[in-house]
Amino acid sequence: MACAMRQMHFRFSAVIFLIVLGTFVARDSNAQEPAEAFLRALRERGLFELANDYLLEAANDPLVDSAFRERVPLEHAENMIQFAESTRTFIQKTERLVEAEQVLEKFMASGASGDMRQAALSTLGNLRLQQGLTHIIQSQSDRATEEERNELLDLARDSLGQSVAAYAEVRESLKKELESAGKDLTPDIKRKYQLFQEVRLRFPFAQENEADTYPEGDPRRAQLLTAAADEYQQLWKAYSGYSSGVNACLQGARALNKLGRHQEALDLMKDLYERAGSENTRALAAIQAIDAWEGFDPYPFDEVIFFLEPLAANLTNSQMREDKWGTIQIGLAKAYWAKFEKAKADGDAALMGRAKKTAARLIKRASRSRGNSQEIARQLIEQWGVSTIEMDDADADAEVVSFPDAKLRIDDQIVQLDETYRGLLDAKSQLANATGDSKTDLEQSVSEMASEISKRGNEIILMIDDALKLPLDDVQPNDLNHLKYLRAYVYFTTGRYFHTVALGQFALDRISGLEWSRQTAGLATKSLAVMYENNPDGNRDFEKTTLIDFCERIYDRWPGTPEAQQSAAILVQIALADGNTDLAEKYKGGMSAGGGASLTLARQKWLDFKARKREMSSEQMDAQSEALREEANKIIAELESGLKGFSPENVNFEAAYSALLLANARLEVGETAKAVEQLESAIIAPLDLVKQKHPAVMQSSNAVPFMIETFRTAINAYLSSLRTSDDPAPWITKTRGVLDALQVLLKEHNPDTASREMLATYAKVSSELTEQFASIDDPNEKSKLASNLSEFLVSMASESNDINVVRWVGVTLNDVAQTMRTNEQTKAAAREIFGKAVEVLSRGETFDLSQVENGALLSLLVRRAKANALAGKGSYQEAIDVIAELIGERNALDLQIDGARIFQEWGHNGGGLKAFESAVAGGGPEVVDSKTRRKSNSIWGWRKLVTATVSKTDNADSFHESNLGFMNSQYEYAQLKGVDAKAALVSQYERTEAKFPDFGGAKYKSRYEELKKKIDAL
Amino acid sequence: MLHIMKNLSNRWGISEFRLFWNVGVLVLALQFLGAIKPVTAEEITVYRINAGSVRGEFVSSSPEKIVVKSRNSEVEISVADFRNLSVDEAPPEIDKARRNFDNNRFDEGLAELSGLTGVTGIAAEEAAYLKAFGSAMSASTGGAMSPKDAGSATYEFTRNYPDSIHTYEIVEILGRQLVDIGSDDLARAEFEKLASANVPTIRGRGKLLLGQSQLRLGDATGAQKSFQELIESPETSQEFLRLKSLAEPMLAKALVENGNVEKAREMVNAVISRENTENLENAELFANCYNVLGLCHLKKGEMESALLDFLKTDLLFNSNPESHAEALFYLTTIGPQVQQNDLAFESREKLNQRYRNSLWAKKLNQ
Repeated sequence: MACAMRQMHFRFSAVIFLIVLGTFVARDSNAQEPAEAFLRALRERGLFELANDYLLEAANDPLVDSAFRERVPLEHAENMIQFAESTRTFIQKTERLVEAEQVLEKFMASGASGDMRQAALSTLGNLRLQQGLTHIIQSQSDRATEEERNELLDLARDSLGQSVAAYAEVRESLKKELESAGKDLTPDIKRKYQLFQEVRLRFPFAQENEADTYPEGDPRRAQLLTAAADEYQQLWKAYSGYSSGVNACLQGARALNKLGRHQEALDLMKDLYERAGSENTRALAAIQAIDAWEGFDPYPFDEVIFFLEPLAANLTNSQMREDKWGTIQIGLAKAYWAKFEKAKADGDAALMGRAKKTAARLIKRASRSRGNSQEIARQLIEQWGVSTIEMDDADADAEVVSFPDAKLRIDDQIVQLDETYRGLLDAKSQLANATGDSKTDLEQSVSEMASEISKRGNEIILMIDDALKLPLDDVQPNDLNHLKYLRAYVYFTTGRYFHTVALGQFALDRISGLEWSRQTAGLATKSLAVMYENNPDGNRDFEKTTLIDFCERIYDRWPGTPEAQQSAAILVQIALADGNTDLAEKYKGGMSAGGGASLTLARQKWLDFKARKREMSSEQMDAQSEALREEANKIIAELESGLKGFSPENVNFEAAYSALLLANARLEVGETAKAVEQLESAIIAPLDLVKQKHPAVMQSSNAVPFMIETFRTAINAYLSSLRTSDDPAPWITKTRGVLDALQVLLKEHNPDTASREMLATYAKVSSELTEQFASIDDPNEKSKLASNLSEFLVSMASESNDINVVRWVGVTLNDVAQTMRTNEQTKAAAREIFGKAVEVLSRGETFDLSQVENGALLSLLVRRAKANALAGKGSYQEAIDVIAELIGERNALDLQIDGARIFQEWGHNGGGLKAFESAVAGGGPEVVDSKTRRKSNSIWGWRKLVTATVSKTDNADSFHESNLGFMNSQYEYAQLKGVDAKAALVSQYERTEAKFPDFGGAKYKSRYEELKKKIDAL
Repeated sequence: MLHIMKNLSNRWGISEFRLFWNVGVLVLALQFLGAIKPVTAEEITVYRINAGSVRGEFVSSSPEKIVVKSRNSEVEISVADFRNLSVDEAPPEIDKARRNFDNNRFDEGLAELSGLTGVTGIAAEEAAYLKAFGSAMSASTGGAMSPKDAGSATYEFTRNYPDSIHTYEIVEILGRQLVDIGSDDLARAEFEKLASANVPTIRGRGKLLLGQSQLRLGDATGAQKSFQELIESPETSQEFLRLKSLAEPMLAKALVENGNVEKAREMVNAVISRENTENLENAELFANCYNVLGLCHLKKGEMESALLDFLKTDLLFNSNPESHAEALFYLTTIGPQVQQNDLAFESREKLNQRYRNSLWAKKLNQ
């Protein structure tokens, strides 16, 4: 059902999307067939499934051009090939290619000719190319054996050979047609030109890859690479002004390098470098050139330095982390290293020192980039034997003569500061949950990192001051402003928030048009938020007013940016804290769909909703159940809507947390199946993210609490599923799996607190299950859940030797049975569950708890739960005996209240007047006071409890429990005996009112009112 | 000259040719031995503001102008256009000192000058000027020079070179030194000299300094008048316009002292909106603007906002020692009031290290 609903929802969304997209495509694709242009647009956006749906519709749509309808199978195959290309997993890749192959074979078997055959051949070429590439990638897997590798390369060679043949055929056929075509560019000719160009570009690529399937030295390899290189170069000549020509040029150089024709590759790259219109193209050319230079003997390090040095000189902080620029820095570092080796051989000590230092400085920077270059740089550091000290010294010794020089050094220091700062944040978040030695280690580590940040931060500030003393005539205002941002960042990381705010305020007030002002203002906002948070008890007017001012202005000045989203989120939180939902809505509404603020608002609403519900009595909840449900559903819709903008690719912790709350909310409103789906298989599925160890979760400082909460919610959802399930086995298996995972997680995280945290989880699950039980109205559903749940719990307890598990099971069974005993239809089932609880808890009594932490207390709690279970089961005398025994060990108010209540229940359930008398005046085995030698009842009864608790303000709950028990027992006793107790009851009621005008507040007032009605009716 | 040679040849009984020959040989020998030097005029290069340099023979100087003979004609360069000068035959130490001063290394520059001997003429004047200037800067920026020694160097220069083109600059420095030692009444007399100069930009600068001095002496009304006169002056040269701009926050400061906080705030905000904050030459102007804004917030009891304003001077416009020292003083005093003790401590350290001889450091440590 859920699946069908999902499909329906998908179709509906697809229709809406098609309408919207169709509007845009129709507007800007006059030259193309609308259906074709539309399909292309869908593919470009990666919407391949939607494209398939569209093709399915188009095949039978009379409004679609008939020529296009004929091509539908071909387009379907093309679609699946492109879909496979964009897929990462081999299984799905292969499945999609198989589907494409089947469709294509069927189409070709139908005897396509002319244009259709050309198109089909092109698609066949594409299919075989993708298949070949997939095999090559598979062959490179570390897990493949030599034999498997060879087999895969054979398969790849075969596929790529077919691809080359298909492309060759269609290329020749199109070439002839286009040569004989007139100058009139009809739409048909235009399409043929387009296909010709596409095939021409892919042809050498297929050849080059086919060549790669042959071993080095194989003549066929050289032949194919030569052909590919020639073709690439021709394409470069033909399309040098276009991106396809640039790509062909780069690929041509790659093929030439593979052939060992390094000089030609280098010439090609120099040509591209000269013509390149963008820094990116120059960088790509340089990377191919690096490969070429490495093939030269002797290695022309001076030429390499001449070309690469200007490219690497002015990298920004973010560029320095890119793999591409990392490769260039490595190339340059290698050249300097070669220069060092040469100087060493020549005995030129001065040059040796300079070259080595430069190589060390560059390789150090490259080692901080991302991707492959990082690994290569680290290997080179090891290979060259350059120490960290040498690299740091190289940096420190480099003479700073210009602003860009100084900036590079500052950027580098900032990278290191940033790393330490992130480390500090991680350590601090771990510290919150750490104990014992690990806590001491972490504290030490936090202290060291904080000290390093402070030291480095001060050095950076001095470097910035020095940089500003250098000649600044040619420095762009944006670059100067970047320094202001870095200064603000240093102050932020070192906790000098006023400094950051001063810089942020200036950026916002005065130079908001410059680059980096936005980020500086964003940092200032964060600083103000920290100042606000850090001062919960003081006067926060300044922080709050300034924070709101910043956020409002940033929100208006730079809409849609991360800083604006952050500002909106803060404004929403402040508005919600002030109870100003309208204002919160205003800022939430201003964000784009799926924006952070709308989710923040929805989350905050849900947390507020839960907090309000916790404050409500069950009567209040009953009275407002409709409104509460409506509110919950509204928040669910908002959470759903906020999550729509996220996918597994862009999910962040906020989204993951929101998805978890959505699952919680669904559980709360009884949508168990949807809750399970949300947890396990939604687009943002918290349980799936946890299983995948997704970075969005794992890199958060709240990763562990999130995982615990996810497991706990999953347990709730699975156990809750038992209420409608005819087959409990799968849910029970899942629950156990999650419980095991939770236990492992807690032990891994902190073995010292694992059992305590597990216990807390049991308690929370137990209380939530009880809440769920109470909310079920249908007796059959309730009985089914009770039966399935007790089966699960009992089997779990019987297999466990952990007293906490046994106690949790016993208490949960008691709570579940308690919610069922008031209903006649479920009363019998309740007794049965109480009986199971007795069995479970009796087993717990036999455990040796002498070595268990808090063993004595646990033993008492187990037996207390057993007494309650015995009473529920109807074994009142046994229950009283257990309670009396416990009171003998530890005379606590709670136990006395349990005893009186059991007597009262006994009276209510056939125990007669004697039981009520004991409930009021006490009973149970007699005990002798060691001082006065006087005998008294071990169980005090309600009267004595009322006297004992009435004056103690910290025992108000105990008093009201006792007082209500006292009056209700008196009432029932009088009813049973047939005497008039109205005056006594009224008097007690009035005394209560005089002492407690609010009748104990929301928690007890309704129970007093109910009692009053009964008294009035006497 | 020929007449003297004829008399001598007659008296010594040798031919005139022989006498010429002998004298020539003697002169060459003495030159070779270094006993005499050829007598030539001092060649100097005068660098001007917003114009090319002038190279030629030094002719004369006064506080208002310097005269150079260049290509057989005399060129007068007003002190308003004068940037600095170099002397061709000056010892290299003078240039080294100047380079050090350019990089704010005043003590190193003074060390270069300390070994100089036997320098005469305009080169000696330059050396004395640099010594006075460097000493004053060293003292005011917490360097090795004591205020007393710096004062002596300045005084010595004014006494020895009353006609120097550097006179007004040194008078200003002297005035500032007097301010730093708390003798504002004496300083005021020096600034009045500038305020009555014949050169408009010097006069404008004098008015600005005089107003500031009046403010320190508690004469806010007099200060307001001085700043107002400067602002309303009809002069329109680029330098004069800059002085007018500088006077605006000072006028605002006088308004604050006179209790007109709102008007002062409006005035300063107008300057901030009008001027380019990213022009490094405006650092002093903006430092003064943010300092005045800080004072406005202080008067209204808005401590955190005041702190932010003074921080802006400290972090962004800290190149002018006086306004930076003022900002540091307030940061030190406000910090503890808003639980920013670290910030206050840091500012106190900075003030005592960088501007330990300044009025603000003395005020703080009183």
